[in-house]
Amino acid sequence: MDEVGFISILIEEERKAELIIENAKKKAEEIIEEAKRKAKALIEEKTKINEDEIIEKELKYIEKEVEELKKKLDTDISNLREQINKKKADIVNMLLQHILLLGEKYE
Amino acid sequence: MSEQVSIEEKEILEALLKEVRESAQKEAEKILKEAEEKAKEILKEAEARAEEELRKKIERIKKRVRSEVSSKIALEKMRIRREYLMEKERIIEDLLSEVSEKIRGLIEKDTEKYKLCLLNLIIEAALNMQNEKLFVVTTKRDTKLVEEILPEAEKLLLEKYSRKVKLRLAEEKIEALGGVILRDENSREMYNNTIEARINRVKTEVLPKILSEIVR
Repeated sequence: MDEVGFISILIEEERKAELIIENAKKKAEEIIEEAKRKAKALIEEKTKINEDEIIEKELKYIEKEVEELKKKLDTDISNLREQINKKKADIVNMLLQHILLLGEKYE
Repeated sequence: MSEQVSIEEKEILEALLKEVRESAQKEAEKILKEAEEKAKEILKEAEARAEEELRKKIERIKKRVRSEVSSKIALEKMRIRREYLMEKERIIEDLLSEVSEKIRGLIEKDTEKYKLCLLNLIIEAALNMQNEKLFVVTTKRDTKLVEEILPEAEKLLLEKYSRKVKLRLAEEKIEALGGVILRDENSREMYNNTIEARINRVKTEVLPKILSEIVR
């Protein structure tokens, strides 16, 4: 092989190398494009919702909220009634002392 | 240049070719690796974006539903709270009715205790007033009792509280369960210490504290 042949081989190898890199770049672009397509599909798929179902769920939640308030206040009233009944004599005496200004236990 | 390439130069050529090939391969691998990583990143971001968009979509619908039924809910909650307050008021009224009954019993059966009560009511009222000449208004039933008490009340006001107050029985009468109203000569200054007024005061000032204590 003479020097011309030597250089030709080198140039040919350089061309092949460039082709390899060029192909890799093309493949990389394809990978990214594919990822973008998948991402778009993923977003579309994952953000699909059944609006009626959500509305129904929310209405049920609101209904439950109102029921819970009623339940809480009913419990408060029962507790108040129970506690008043339990301590009625003491409460009445306290009130009598405040009203009559007798400064002592009435009864 | 047509010189023949020596064996040594051939080896150099091969080394050079290998270097070029390997370098290209490495560069290609690097490009592909970076692309794979970027693809992974794109999908990861898409997952996060999808979650965020889904959350926002659901939130928008919930908000819309709430705003559509908000006035209805508010009214319903108000109705429940009003019922609760009415029931609480009924319980309090029952309690105060019992207190009123006890007071009625005391007035009818324990005159000495009621007399002491009237004395304290007159003194408390006088201490809360500025005038030094005060008229005591009471019920027709309690007139005699109050008349008997007035000198003692004046004495106590002076000795215990250093207040020189002249107390006179007013001619007019009141309709009340018991107690007194004190007024000055022109009725500009008044202090209502009837049993009803005291029950009302207790209802707004004392009872809420007692109730909050017992249902803690």
